[in-house]
Amino acid sequence: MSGLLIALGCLALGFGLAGVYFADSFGTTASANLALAGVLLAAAVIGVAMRSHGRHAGLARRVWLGVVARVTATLVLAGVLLYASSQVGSRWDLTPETGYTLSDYSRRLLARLDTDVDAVLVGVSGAGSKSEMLLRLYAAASPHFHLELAAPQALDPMSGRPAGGVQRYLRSGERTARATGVSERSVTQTLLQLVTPAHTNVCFVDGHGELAADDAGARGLRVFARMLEREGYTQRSLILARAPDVPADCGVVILAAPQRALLPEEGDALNRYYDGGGRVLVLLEPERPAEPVALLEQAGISAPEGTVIDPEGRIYGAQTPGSEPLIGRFTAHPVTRGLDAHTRVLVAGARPLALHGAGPRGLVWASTSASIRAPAADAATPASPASPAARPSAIPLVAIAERDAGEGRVGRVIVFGDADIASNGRIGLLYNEDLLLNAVNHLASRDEAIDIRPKLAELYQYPLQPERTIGAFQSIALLIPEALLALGIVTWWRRRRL
Amino acid sequence: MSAASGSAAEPGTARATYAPGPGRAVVTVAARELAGLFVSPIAYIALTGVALAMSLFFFDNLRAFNAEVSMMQAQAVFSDLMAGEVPPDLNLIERVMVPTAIQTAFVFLGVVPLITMGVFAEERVRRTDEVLLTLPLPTTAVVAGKFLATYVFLLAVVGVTVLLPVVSVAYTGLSAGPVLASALGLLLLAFALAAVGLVCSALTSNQLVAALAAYALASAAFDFGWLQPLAGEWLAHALELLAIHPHFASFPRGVIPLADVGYFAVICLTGFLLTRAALELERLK
Repeated sequence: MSGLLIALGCLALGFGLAGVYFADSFGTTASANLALAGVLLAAAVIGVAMRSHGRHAGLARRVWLGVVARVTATLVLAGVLLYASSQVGSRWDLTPETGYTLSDYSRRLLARLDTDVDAVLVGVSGAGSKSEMLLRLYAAASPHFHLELAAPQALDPMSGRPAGGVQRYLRSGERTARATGVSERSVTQTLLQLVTPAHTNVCFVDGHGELAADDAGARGLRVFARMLEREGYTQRSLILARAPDVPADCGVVILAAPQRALLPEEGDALNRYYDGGGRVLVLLEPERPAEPVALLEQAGISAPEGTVIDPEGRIYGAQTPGSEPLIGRFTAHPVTRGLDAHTRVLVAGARPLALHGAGPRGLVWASTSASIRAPAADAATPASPASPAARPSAIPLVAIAERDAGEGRVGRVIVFGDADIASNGRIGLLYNEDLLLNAVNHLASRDEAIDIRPKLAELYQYPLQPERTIGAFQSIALLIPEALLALGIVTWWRRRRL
Repeated sequence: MSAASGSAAEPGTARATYAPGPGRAVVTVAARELAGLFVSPIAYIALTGVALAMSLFFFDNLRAFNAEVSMMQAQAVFSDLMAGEVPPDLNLIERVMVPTAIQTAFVFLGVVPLITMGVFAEERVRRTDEVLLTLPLPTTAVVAGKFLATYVFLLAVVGVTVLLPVVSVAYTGLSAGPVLASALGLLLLAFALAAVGLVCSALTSNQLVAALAAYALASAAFDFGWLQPLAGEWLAHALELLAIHPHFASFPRGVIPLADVGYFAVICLTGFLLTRAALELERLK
């Protein structure tokens, strides 16, 4: 009888769970089935316990009760241990680049978090997805970060329409932002944007054919502008000819590779801005010799014409060896914090800088074997290595100069010999974005925000060569099962003969 | 070794019973069980099936990954792909290791109950359980021996399944860390499933019922994700604590969370204690 009750109970349980699964709700039939299952299984247990009769009925009941007590104790112990083990936070990330562990940058950002942030994960039907795993790392790192798993068919909290696939949203107070990627980089950038209030206005000088902050092409600065927004900067364009002075609300002015020279009065306005404690980022290009000469002179920096060729940092496949070098020589300075020979930047056709006097400091340097190719030289012609003039002892590629403006104010200018480093096509490469954003943060006196950001680069994004794949398949995928089956046949044959 | 554990008796004393020490008893039971497994072709068929299934999953995933990466690289050449547009989850770990491990876990859901179904149930059918239970062996030793034998066999099964990833380490430069973590995850999963299967086997004399019950229990507990949106916060948390998949998901990625190792250890321990309780009840009958 008890066996029948157990069988019927299991049947009701199975159909009850199936009802919930397919209807996505506890409907009447499903609930009735689950309730019936509970009643039948309880009746079965009671029936088994009461079944004993005869001379040893009392003893049998005591034995049963003992077993029930032991099983109950075991299950309670298991529950307690499960809960206790779930509270253990230690974990070992065995991937070579600890790709499933939050970077120091994200951890520091989470440690600074003082407002509640809810991460909503929509469209994930099962547990254990990468998105969920990633967001759980954030939740574990900060008591202010909470993870909420929405139903797979939940609506997009931003548009109110069906989310369509897996979506990750971060919500803080009234603000909601979507993390577009499944990487730490994407989530951290979204979090940064959400919790960092707008603090500084960045003005992009316009009107001289500069690289534009709204240009989405390979040489535009749209990605750079977006990165600045995530770090709490607001940005707008600045036409110097329209006003006698740089507006006071410009915390940082960016002049990105102008094609035409600034008018004298525009140059004067920039000089006055710098003299008065303003902050300027100048990006230069070898093929655009229209630098703000007066400003650079005042800063003690000049930009001779030509392109830096650095054979030591050459990358395989570059059109002219050494013209797009990897650079790993940095002066210790807040702008270059965290950058060294292992965390390099990739420049693309940099203009050499020259420093005059004790004021300016070089921050990023080409190697000692670098030389300068004259602008008239053919791109395929290497720079003359023999000429001492063409090979100075060290060529700065990024330099900084400061000027005391009185009343505690300091004018600051940072010059990059390469503007392409900030372009959409190159800012995401290696540590280019860190160098640029840290330069802007230093200009805006936000040294606490200087850091190395999580990288997008993932492990093992290379396909396996076909011949190796086939070789592995033939040697392992077929040989091992074949050998095991042969062993089984031999065993069966030997037993048959016994 | 104690005097009562099978060593030579003192002159002039009589030994009433043969009572090996607990360690020796465990090994004896395990050796008997393993011998029974490996002299039948069933063990080899199971190993072959798992190895073949794992190979096919691995190469199918690898082929899909290769095709996708090659297509992405071709697109990058022709369209001047902007830095950062390659999907970050398009890598060997997320596209090959993780899906292969999940598919293997599903194979284990079906195969492990087949391995464990006869461990206790078959003894009943062949009436050898009475001999086993009346031997002067502690119940704990009998259960530990059965568990040990099953776990040794599962070690061989997991060994076969990770051969391919190990070879891929040599071929692709994939780090050994994720492969080792993946193997550990599969081993812990197999051990936990075996613990559930052994409890079921200890409760019935019908092997089919034991296998089906173990399969149903493990499948139901594999992932409660579909129930979580319907459950309240407390119940959802409890279900997540119980579900197998969330505790397994980190291992194929090369991450070993101590909490998840603890989860599988608790399942094994609970299975052991429940099996022992079931066997003691049998002994009392």
